[in-house]
Amino acid sequence: MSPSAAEGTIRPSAGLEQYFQQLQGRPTLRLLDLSPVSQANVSFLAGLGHRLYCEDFLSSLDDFFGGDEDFYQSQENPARAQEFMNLTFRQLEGPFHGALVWDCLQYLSPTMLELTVAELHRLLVPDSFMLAFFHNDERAKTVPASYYRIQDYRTLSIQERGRRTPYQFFTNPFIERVFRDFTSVKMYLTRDHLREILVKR
Amino acid sequence: MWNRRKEEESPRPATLSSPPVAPMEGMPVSTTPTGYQGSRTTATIGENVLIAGQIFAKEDLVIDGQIDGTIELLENKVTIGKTARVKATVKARDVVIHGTVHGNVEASDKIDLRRDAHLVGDIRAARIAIEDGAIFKGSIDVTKVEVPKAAPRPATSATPAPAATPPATTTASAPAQTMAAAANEHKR
Repeated sequence: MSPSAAEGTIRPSAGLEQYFQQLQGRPTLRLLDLSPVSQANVSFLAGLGHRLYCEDFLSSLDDFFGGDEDFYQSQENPARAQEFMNLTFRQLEGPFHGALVWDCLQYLSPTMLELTVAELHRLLVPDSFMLAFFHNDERAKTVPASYYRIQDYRTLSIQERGRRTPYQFFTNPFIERVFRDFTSVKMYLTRDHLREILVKR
Repeated sequence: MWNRRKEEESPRPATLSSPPVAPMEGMPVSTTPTGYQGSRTTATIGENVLIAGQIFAKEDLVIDGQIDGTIELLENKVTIGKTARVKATVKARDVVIHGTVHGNVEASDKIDLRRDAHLVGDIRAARIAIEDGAIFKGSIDVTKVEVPKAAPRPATSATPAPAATPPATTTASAPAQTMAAAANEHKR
Protein backbone atom coordinates (compact mmCIF):
# COMPACT_ATOMS: atom_id res chain seq x y z
CA MET A 1 0.00 0.00 0.00
CA SER A 2 1.50 3.33 -0.92
CA PRO A 3 0.40 6.60 0.63
CA SER A 4 -0.58 9.55 -1.48
CA ALA A 5 -1.54 12.89 0.07
CA ALA A 6 -4.94 14.22 -0.91
CA GLU A 7 -5.86 11.23 -3.04
CA GLY A 8 -5.91 8.93 -0.03
CA THR A 9 -4.14 5.61 -0.08
CA ILE A 10 -3.53 4.10 -3.46
CA ARG A 11 -3.49 0.33 -3.49
CA PRO A 12 -4.01 -2.55 -5.88
CA SER A 13 -7.26 -4.44 -5.57
CA ALA A 14 -7.52 -8.03 -6.71
CA GLY A 15 -11.27 -7.98 -6.15
CA LEU A 16 -11.68 -4.95 -8.39
CA GLU A 17 -9.53 -6.53 -11.07
CA GLN A 18 -11.65 -9.68 -11.04
CA TYR A 19 -14.81 -7.60 -11.03
CA PHE A 20 -13.78 -5.73 -14.18
CA GLN A 21 -12.65 -8.93 -15.85
CA GLN A 22 -16.23 -10.10 -15.56
CA LEU A 23 -17.50 -6.91 -17.17
CA GLN A 24 -14.99 -7.00 -20.01
CA GLY A 25 -16.46 -6.77 -23.47
CA ARG A 26 -19.91 -5.92 -22.15
CA PRO A 27 -20.54 -2.23 -22.72
CA THR A 28 -23.61 -0.24 -21.64
CA LEU A 29 -24.22 -2.15 -18.44
CA ARG A 30 -26.20 -0.70 -15.58
CA LEU A 31 -24.07 -0.61 -12.45
CA LEU A 32 -25.04 0.27 -8.91
CA ASP A 33 -22.50 2.15 -6.80
CA LEU A 34 -23.27 2.49 -3.10
CA SER A 35 -20.50 4.99 -2.36
CA PRO A 36 -20.82 8.78 -2.47
CA VAL A 37 -20.67 10.05 -6.03
CA SER A 38 -17.13 10.76 -7.18
CA GLN A 39 -15.59 12.07 -10.35
CA ALA A 40 -13.15 9.17 -10.43
CA ASN A 41 -15.79 6.44 -10.40
CA VAL A 42 -18.10 8.28 -12.79
CA SER A 43 -15.31 9.00 -15.28
CA PHE A 44 -13.96 5.47 -15.17
CA LEU A 45 -17.26 3.62 -15.42
CA ALA A 46 -18.81 6.02 -17.92
CA GLY A 47 -15.58 5.79 -19.90
CA LEU A 48 -16.23 2.07 -20.25
CA GLY A 49 -19.67 2.90 -21.60
CA HIS A 50 -21.65 1.90 -18.51
CA ARG A 51 -24.54 3.70 -16.90
CA LEU A 52 -24.02 4.34 -13.23
CA TYR A 53 -26.58 4.54 -10.42
CA CYS A 54 -25.33 6.27 -7.30
CA GLU A 55 -26.68 5.92 -3.81
CA ASP A 56 -24.60 7.03 -0.85
CA PHE A 57 -25.78 4.15 1.28
CA LEU A 58 -23.89 5.01 4.47
CA SER A 59 -25.05 8.62 4.49
CA SER A 60 -28.62 7.49 3.89
CA LEU A 61 -28.23 5.05 6.75
CA ASP A 62 -26.95 7.79 9.06
CA ASP A 63 -29.66 10.21 7.98
CA PHE A 64 -32.38 7.67 8.61
CA PHE A 65 -31.19 5.92 11.76
CA GLY A 66 -28.98 8.62 13.26
CA GLY A 67 -25.28 8.20 13.84
CA ASP A 68 -25.55 7.86 17.64
CA GLU A 69 -25.42 4.91 20.01
CA ASP A 70 -28.95 3.88 19.09
CA PHE A 71 -27.81 3.43 15.50
CA TYR A 72 -27.93 -0.36 15.51
CA GLN A 73 -30.85 -0.56 17.90
CA SER A 74 -32.95 1.59 15.54
CA GLN A 75 -32.01 -0.66 12.66
CA GLU A 76 -33.45 -3.63 14.51
CA ASN A 77 -36.92 -2.09 14.47
CA PRO A 78 -38.53 -4.12 11.65
CA ALA A 79 -40.92 -1.38 10.56
CA ARG A 80 -38.14 1.23 10.40
CA ALA A 81 -35.84 -1.19 8.62
CA GLN A 82 -38.49 -1.93 6.02
CA GLU A 83 -39.22 1.77 5.58
CA PHE A 84 -35.54 2.41 4.92
CA MET A 85 -35.47 -0.39 2.37
CA ASN A 86 -38.46 1.07 0.58
CA LEU A 87 -36.93 4.54 0.51
CA THR A 88 -33.52 3.37 -0.59
CA PHE A 89 -33.96 0.43 -2.91
CA ARG A 90 -37.55 0.21 -4.02
CA GLN A 91 -37.34 3.31 -6.18
CA LEU A 92 -34.28 2.01 -7.99
CA GLU A 93 -35.10 1.01 -11.48
CA GLY A 94 -33.29 -2.26 -11.78
CA PRO A 95 -32.20 -4.73 -12.69
CA PHE A 96 -28.48 -4.05 -12.50
CA HIS A 97 -25.62 -5.86 -14.16
CA GLY A 98 -23.26 -5.27 -11.28
CA ALA A 99 -22.93 -3.60 -7.91
CA LEU A 100 -20.12 -1.91 -6.04
CA VAL A 101 -21.11 -2.24 -2.42
CA TRP A 102 -17.70 -1.39 -0.93
CA ASP A 103 -17.70 -1.59 2.90
CA CYS A 104 -21.34 -0.65 3.54
CA LEU A 105 -22.60 -4.00 4.74
CA GLN A 106 -20.44 -3.91 7.86
CA TYR A 107 -22.52 -1.20 9.44
CA LEU A 108 -25.80 -3.03 9.40
CA SER A 109 -27.60 -4.83 12.18
CA PRO A 110 -28.60 -8.47 11.48
CA THR A 111 -32.12 -7.49 10.38
CA MET A 112 -30.89 -4.76 8.07
CA LEU A 113 -28.09 -6.93 6.72
CA GLU A 114 -30.54 -9.63 5.74
CA LEU A 115 -32.93 -7.15 4.13
CA THR A 116 -30.16 -5.35 2.26
CA VAL A 117 -28.60 -8.50 0.88
CA ALA A 118 -32.06 -9.69 -0.18
CA GLU A 119 -32.65 -6.37 -1.99
CA LEU A 120 -29.29 -6.63 -3.75
CA HIS A 121 -30.15 -10.16 -4.79
CA ARG A 122 -33.45 -8.90 -6.17
CA LEU A 123 -31.86 -5.98 -8.03
CA LEU A 124 -29.03 -7.91 -9.68
CA VAL A 125 -29.50 -9.98 -12.81
CA PRO A 126 -28.39 -13.63 -12.68
CA ASP A 127 -24.65 -14.13 -13.34
CA SER A 128 -23.87 -10.53 -12.43
CA PHE A 129 -21.20 -9.64 -9.86
CA MET A 130 -21.03 -7.61 -6.70
CA LEU A 131 -17.90 -6.33 -4.98
CA ALA A 132 -17.96 -5.89 -1.20
CA PHE A 133 -15.28 -5.21 1.41
CA PHE A 134 -15.07 -6.31 5.02
CA HIS A 135 -12.46 -5.37 7.58
CA ASN A 136 -10.92 -8.47 9.09
CA ASP A 137 -9.09 -7.14 12.13
CA GLU A 138 -10.88 -8.97 14.92
CA ARG A 139 -9.31 -6.87 17.66
CA ALA A 140 -10.27 -3.49 16.24
CA LYS A 141 -13.12 -1.78 18.09
CA THR A 142 -13.57 0.69 15.26
CA VAL A 143 -12.72 0.38 11.60
CA PRO A 144 -12.22 3.08 8.99
CA ALA A 145 -15.19 3.72 6.75
CA SER A 146 -13.77 4.94 3.47
CA TYR A 147 -14.36 6.54 0.12
CA TYR A 148 -13.34 4.12 -2.62
CA ARG A 149 -12.29 5.68 -5.87
CA ILE A 150 -11.40 3.69 -8.91
CA GLN A 151 -8.06 4.68 -10.44
CA ASP A 152 -7.90 1.93 -13.03
CA TYR A 153 -8.94 -1.70 -13.54
CA ARG A 154 -6.91 -2.90 -10.60
CA THR A 155 -6.15 0.14 -8.48
CA LEU A 156 -8.20 1.92 -5.84
CA SER A 157 -7.74 5.14 -3.97
CA ILE A 158 -9.03 4.73 -0.43
CA GLN A 159 -9.73 7.79 1.66
CA GLU A 160 -11.02 7.55 5.22
CA ARG A 161 -14.36 9.21 5.90
CA GLY A 162 -14.35 8.53 9.63
CA ARG A 163 -14.11 5.53 11.93
CA ARG A 164 -17.13 3.46 12.79
CA THR A 165 -17.96 0.59 15.07
CA PRO A 166 -19.14 -2.39 13.07
CA TYR A 167 -22.05 -4.35 14.49
CA GLN A 168 -20.26 -7.63 14.13
CA PHE A 169 -17.11 -9.21 12.83
CA PHE A 170 -17.42 -10.94 9.49
CA THR A 171 -15.63 -14.27 9.42
CA ASN A 172 -15.36 -16.24 6.18
CA PRO A 173 -18.06 -18.74 7.14
CA PHE A 174 -20.32 -15.90 8.22
CA ILE A 175 -19.80 -14.09 4.91
CA GLU A 176 -20.66 -17.29 3.06
CA ARG A 177 -23.81 -17.56 5.13
CA VAL A 178 -24.77 -13.94 4.40
CA PHE A 179 -24.55 -14.57 0.65
CA ARG A 180 -26.02 -18.08 0.74
CA ASP A 181 -28.62 -17.19 -1.91
CA PHE A 182 -25.94 -16.13 -4.39
CA THR A 183 -24.18 -18.51 -6.75
CA SER A 184 -20.63 -18.11 -5.48
CA VAL A 185 -18.43 -16.08 -3.13
CA LYS A 186 -14.73 -15.46 -3.77
CA MET A 187 -12.55 -13.88 -1.11
CA TYR A 188 -9.33 -11.97 -1.56
CA LEU A 189 -7.19 -11.30 1.47
CA THR A 190 -5.09 -8.16 1.57
CA ARG A 191 -2.33 -6.85 3.76
CA ASP A 192 -4.39 -3.99 5.13
CA HIS A 193 -7.05 -6.02 6.98
CA LEU A 194 -9.55 -5.45 4.22
CA ARG A 195 -11.11 -8.61 2.89
CA GLU A 196 -12.38 -8.21 -0.67
CA ILE A 197 -15.37 -10.29 -1.67
CA LEU A 198 -16.58 -10.95 -5.18
CA VAL A 199 -20.07 -12.36 -5.16
CA LYS A 200 -21.77 -13.86 -8.17
CA ARG A 201 -25.53 -13.56 -8.33
CA MET B 1 -35.46 6.42 -12.58
CA TRP B 2 -36.03 8.81 -9.66
CA ASN B 3 -38.35 11.00 -11.59
CA ARG B 4 -39.25 9.03 -14.57
CA ARG B 5 -38.64 10.71 -17.87
CA LYS B 6 -42.22 10.33 -18.95
CA GLU B 7 -42.66 14.05 -18.81
CA GLU B 8 -40.37 14.33 -21.82
CA GLU B 9 -42.97 12.66 -23.95
CA SER B 10 -45.87 14.74 -22.79
CA PRO B 11 -47.09 17.48 -25.06
CA ARG B 12 -46.36 21.01 -24.03
CA PRO B 13 -49.24 22.69 -22.32
CA ALA B 14 -51.19 25.35 -24.10
CA THR B 15 -49.86 27.99 -21.79
CA LEU B 16 -46.60 27.99 -23.70
CA SER B 17 -48.16 30.06 -26.39
CA SER B 18 -49.68 32.46 -23.94
CA PRO B 19 -48.22 35.92 -24.08
CA PRO B 20 -45.32 36.49 -21.77
CA VAL B 21 -45.97 38.38 -18.64
CA ALA B 22 -43.44 40.94 -17.70
CA PRO B 23 -41.94 40.56 -14.26
CA MET B 24 -43.71 42.58 -11.64
CA GLU B 25 -42.21 45.81 -10.65
CA GLY B 26 -39.97 45.29 -7.71
CA MET B 27 -39.73 41.55 -8.25
CA PRO B 28 -36.11 40.44 -8.04
CA VAL B 29 -35.86 38.97 -11.52
CA SER B 30 -33.16 40.88 -13.30
CA THR B 31 -31.01 40.65 -16.40
CA THR B 32 -27.90 42.15 -14.95
CA PRO B 33 -24.58 40.34 -14.87
CA THR B 34 -24.18 38.40 -11.63
CA GLY B 35 -21.35 37.09 -9.54
CA TYR B 36 -21.67 33.57 -10.99
CA GLN B 37 -21.21 34.75 -14.53
CA GLY B 38 -18.78 36.62 -16.68
CA SER B 39 -19.69 39.59 -18.76
CA ARG B 40 -22.60 37.96 -20.61
CA THR B 41 -26.08 39.16 -19.86
CA THR B 42 -27.66 36.84 -17.37
CA ALA B 43 -31.12 36.73 -15.89
CA THR B 44 -31.39 36.17 -12.18
CA ILE B 45 -34.18 34.76 -10.08
CA GLY B 46 -33.63 36.16 -6.64
CA GLU B 47 -33.43 34.34 -3.35
CA ASN B 48 -36.92 35.36 -2.23
CA VAL B 49 -38.69 34.46 -5.43
CA LEU B 50 -40.89 31.38 -5.81
CA ILE B 51 -41.98 30.35 -9.28
CA ALA B 52 -44.42 27.51 -9.86
CA GLY B 53 -44.60 26.74 -13.55
CA GLN B 54 -42.39 26.65 -16.57
CA ILE B 55 -39.33 28.71 -17.33
CA PHE B 56 -37.99 29.07 -20.84
CA ALA B 57 -35.04 31.32 -21.55
CA LYS B 58 -32.81 32.30 -24.42
CA GLU B 59 -30.17 33.75 -22.19
CA ASP B 60 -28.17 32.44 -19.29
CA LEU B 61 -30.03 32.19 -16.02
CA VAL B 62 -29.01 32.19 -12.37
CA ILE B 63 -31.51 30.79 -9.90
CA ASP B 64 -31.22 31.64 -6.23
CA GLY B 65 -34.89 31.19 -5.37
CA GLN B 66 -37.40 28.38 -5.38
CA ILE B 67 -38.71 26.83 -8.57
CA ASP B 68 -41.39 24.16 -8.90
CA GLY B 69 -41.98 23.02 -12.46
CA THR B 70 -39.69 22.87 -15.47
CA ILE B 71 -36.69 24.86 -16.62
CA GLU B 72 -35.58 24.89 -20.25
CA LEU B 73 -32.66 26.87 -21.61
CA LEU B 74 -31.80 24.70 -24.55
CA GLU B 75 -29.05 26.94 -25.88
CA ASN B 76 -27.90 28.50 -22.65
CA LYS B 77 -26.48 27.90 -19.24
CA VAL B 78 -28.41 27.69 -15.98
CA THR B 79 -26.68 28.15 -12.65
CA ILE B 80 -28.53 26.94 -9.60
CA GLY B 81 -27.17 28.93 -6.70
CA LYS B 82 -26.46 27.84 -3.15
CA THR B 83 -29.73 29.18 -1.81
CA ALA B 84 -31.85 27.73 -4.60
CA ARG B 85 -34.38 24.98 -4.04
CA VAL B 86 -35.45 23.57 -7.35
CA LYS B 87 -38.07 20.88 -7.80
CA ALA B 88 -38.07 20.66 -11.56
CA THR B 89 -36.93 18.96 -14.69
CA VAL B 90 -33.97 20.98 -15.91
CA LYS B 91 -32.83 21.04 -19.53
CA ALA B 92 -30.08 23.33 -20.71
CA ARG B 93 -26.86 23.50 -22.67
CA ASP B 94 -24.86 23.73 -19.43
CA VAL B 95 -26.07 23.22 -15.88
CA VAL B 96 -24.07 24.30 -12.84
CA ILE B 97 -25.50 23.23 -9.49
CA HIS B 98 -24.51 24.73 -6.16
CA GLY B 99 -27.88 24.31 -4.42
CA THR B 100 -30.63 21.74 -4.02
CA VAL B 101 -32.37 20.11 -6.97
CA HIS B 102 -35.02 17.40 -7.01
CA GLY B 103 -35.66 16.37 -10.58
CA ASN B 104 -33.98 15.07 -13.68
CA VAL B 105 -31.25 17.20 -15.19
CA GLU B 106 -30.20 17.07 -18.83
CA ALA B 107 -27.47 19.09 -20.53
CA SER B 108 -26.45 19.00 -24.15
CA ASP B 109 -22.94 19.90 -23.06
CA LYS B 110 -21.96 19.82 -19.40
CA ILE B 111 -23.36 19.30 -15.91
CA ASP B 112 -21.26 20.66 -13.10
CA LEU B 113 -22.02 19.46 -9.57
CA ARG B 114 -20.25 21.73 -7.13
CA ARG B 115 -19.37 20.73 -3.58
CA ASP B 116 -22.55 22.18 -2.04
CA ALA B 117 -24.82 20.60 -4.61
CA HIS B 118 -27.56 18.27 -3.46
CA LEU B 119 -29.21 16.56 -6.39
CA VAL B 120 -31.80 13.81 -6.33
CA GLY B 121 -32.67 12.79 -9.86
CA ASP B 122 -31.21 11.31 -12.99
CA ILE B 123 -28.58 13.23 -14.91
CA ARG B 124 -27.66 13.00 -18.54
CA ALA B 125 -25.00 15.02 -20.32
CA ALA B 126 -22.09 14.81 -22.70
CA ARG B 127 -19.72 15.83 -19.88
CA ILE B 128 -20.12 15.68 -16.13
CA ALA B 129 -17.91 17.27 -13.50
CA ILE B 130 -18.35 16.42 -9.83
CA GLU B 131 -16.66 18.15 -6.94
CA ASP B 132 -15.95 16.24 -3.74
CA GLY B 133 -18.72 16.86 -1.26
CA ALA B 134 -21.53 16.97 -3.77
CA ILE B 135 -24.48 14.85 -2.72
CA PHE B 136 -26.12 12.91 -5.49
CA LYS B 137 -28.68 10.18 -5.69
CA GLY B 138 -29.75 8.93 -9.08
CA SER B 139 -28.43 7.63 -12.35
CA ILE B 140 -25.64 9.10 -14.44
CA ASP B 141 -25.68 8.77 -18.17
CA VAL B 142 -22.71 10.29 -19.93
CA THR B 143 -23.87 10.52 -23.49
CA LYS B 144 -24.37 12.95 -26.27
CA VAL B 145 -27.72 14.60 -25.64
CA GLU B 146 -29.55 15.59 -28.79
CA VAL B 147 -31.32 18.80 -27.97
CA PRO B 148 -33.99 20.01 -30.36
CA LYS B 149 -33.69 23.59 -31.47
CA ALA B 150 -35.73 25.81 -29.27
CA ALA B 151 -39.01 26.90 -30.79
CA PRO B 152 -39.24 30.61 -31.40
CA ARG B 153 -40.40 32.27 -28.24
CA PRO B 154 -40.81 35.74 -26.97
CA ALA B 155 -37.56 37.13 -25.69
CA THR B 156 -38.21 36.74 -22.00
CA SER B 157 -36.11 34.96 -19.46
CA ALA B 158 -38.89 33.89 -17.17
CA THR B 159 -42.62 34.01 -17.47
CA PRO B 160 -44.02 34.43 -14.01
CA ALA B 161 -47.44 35.98 -13.83
CA PRO B 162 -48.43 38.75 -11.50
CA ALA B 163 -49.32 37.62 -8.05
CA ALA B 164 -49.86 38.88 -4.60
CA THR B 165 -46.69 40.07 -3.01
CA PRO B 166 -46.43 39.28 0.66
CA PRO B 167 -44.54 41.78 2.73
CA ALA B 168 -41.52 39.65 3.53
CA THR B 169 -40.95 37.83 0.27
CA THR B 170 -41.84 38.24 -3.34
CA THR B 171 -43.73 35.27 -4.72
CA ALA B 172 -44.49 34.91 -8.38
CA SER B 173 -47.26 32.49 -9.28
CA ALA B 174 -47.72 31.20 -12.79
CA PRO B 175 -51.16 31.15 -14.45
CA ALA B 176 -53.63 28.54 -13.28
CA GLN B 177 -53.10 26.31 -16.30
CA THR B 178 -49.38 26.37 -15.84
CA MET B 179 -49.81 25.59 -12.18
CA ALA B 180 -51.95 22.62 -13.13
CA ALA B 181 -49.31 21.49 -15.57
CA ALA B 182 -46.74 21.71 -12.84
CA ALA B 183 -48.98 19.79 -10.48
CA ASN B 184 -49.41 17.05 -13.06
CA GLU B 185 -45.67 17.06 -13.48
CA HIS B 186 -45.27 16.28 -9.78
CA LYS B 187 -47.84 13.52 -9.85
CA ARG B 188 -45.86 11.64 -12.45
